[in-house]
Order: sequence, then C-alpha cells, then structure tokens
Amino acid sequence: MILSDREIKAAIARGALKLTPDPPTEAWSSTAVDLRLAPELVLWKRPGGAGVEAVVCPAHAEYSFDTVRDQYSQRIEIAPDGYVFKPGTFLLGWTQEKIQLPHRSRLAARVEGKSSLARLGIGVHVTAPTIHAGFGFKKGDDSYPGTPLQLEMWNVGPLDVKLAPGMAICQIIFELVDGTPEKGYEGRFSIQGPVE
Amino acid sequence: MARIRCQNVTEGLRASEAVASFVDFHGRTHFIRVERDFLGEQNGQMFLPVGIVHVDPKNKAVLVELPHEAETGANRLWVREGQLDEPIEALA
Repeated sequence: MILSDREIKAAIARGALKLTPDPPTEAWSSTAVDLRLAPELVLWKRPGGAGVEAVVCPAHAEYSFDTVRDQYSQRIEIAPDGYVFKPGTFLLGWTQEKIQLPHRSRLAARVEGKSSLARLGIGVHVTAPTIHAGFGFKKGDDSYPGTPLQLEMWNVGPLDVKLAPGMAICQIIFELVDGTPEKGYEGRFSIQGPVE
Repeated sequence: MARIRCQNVTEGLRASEAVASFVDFHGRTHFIRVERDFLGEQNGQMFLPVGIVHVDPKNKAVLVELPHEAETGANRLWVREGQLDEPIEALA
C-alpha cells in the first residue's frame, strides 16, 4: 500500500520515518515527495588507452572496491552554474535529504525518476529503486538523521542536460510492509545445521 | 544493535562517505559504502551496525544483515561470532 502525503506526514510526526531536512512545500505530491540533488557527483571513467581491457568482477575473491574507486572514479563538485550531463555518460549522485526507515515502522520505499527529466532521457536509478525497511536506522542513536539516497544517473537522450545542486531530481514513494521484518525483531533464535 | 568489527575503513566516493571492509565466515573480504558517521568507533576500532538474523551456535557463526547491499553484492552474510562487539545469545 502506498502512503499518501497525509500518511507520510503522520509517519514523520510519530517518528516512524525521518526525512531530513524537511522537503519544501512544493516537493510534496499526493503520493510522493521530490528529493533534491546534492552538489557532489561521481563520474565513472572509461579505462584509458587503446586496447586497455578492464574487467571488474565483484564476485571474485580478490575484488577490491578501493582499487576500482581509485582507478575509475572521479569526484565532481557541481559548479554554481551547473554541470553538463553529457549523453552516454553515467554518474553517481546523492540526494540532499537523508532518510531513515526504522524496522519497527514497517515502511519501505522506492526511489523513482521525475517524468520531466525522464522525457529528456535522464534516469536516476539502474533497476535498483528499493529502499529496504531499516534503511539509515542506527539503533541507540536517536539523533542520527539517516542516510542520503544514492542515485545511479544516466543520460540516454541526445541532449546535454544541465544539472544544478538543489534541483528536484527524483521522488520517493513510501510503502507499508506486510508484517515486521525478521531483522527488526529483537529476539534472537538459533538454527540448526552448519553454515554453507 | 550489534556491530561488526571493520577490517579497514577507507575513503568513499565523496567526502562524507567511507568504505568499510570486513571478512565473512569464509574469509572473503566485503566492502560496503556508508556515510562515515554511520560507523561507530571504540578505542580506535571502527564498527559497522548490522542486524542479527540467525545464530548458529554449533559453528559459532552469525547471519547478519547489512544496512544495504555491499559492493560485493551481499545483503546478508555469515560472520564469525567473535567479529561482533556484543555477546550474541542463541535462544534454544
């Protein structure tokens, strides 16, 4: 079941979810809240040089994310006049808003694109829109605001599209989880049998 | 909330992020990118908050759920009991 704007506000008021900072009034629609783009971007670079073969295999025992990060990513701070998102490129971005969904709230969420940007060919996730129950939750730290959403951004349109920090980049839709997730229970129990 | 001892904490993709690495039950290293302030620190040791899903007392193994999918693809994985910073009691 998707939460309406009233239910989202009620959930925030009773501490069942955190959305920090408060989204502006114009960010709200009937069943979603627009989130804004943070100024930092990361551009995944193509391996340089002719004939250079780069294969990344996260499942390999020798995989090192640090090595991949150092070799192929480039941090970009969006300039005051914006960042031109070129066709065919792929970026990681983050929302300004931080989200927290405690398990006990029985809430999960989805991040989706905005149709205005989608019509230009801009996508904000690559088949991974789900924000699981428990996201950004740090038990025992009531002051913790939660975690920003990471966006996997692609431009499949033919146009250069300028991105600006603070622009409405995506929307978040909250859904009720049927039942309390197992992880959310404080009780612990044993299982039989060896692991794998 | 249980916390798993990090093997190493390095830079993330942006200033507020960190990459925490830790090993699973089988010794394979996993990497997860989180906001740096999500990690806890105690006596210079960094910890990642995780949820406890199952305890296997026979093998002294614990199935933990990560705050989100790791760079290596795992959402839940088995770790050794000793990697966690609070005693895990398995109920009969």
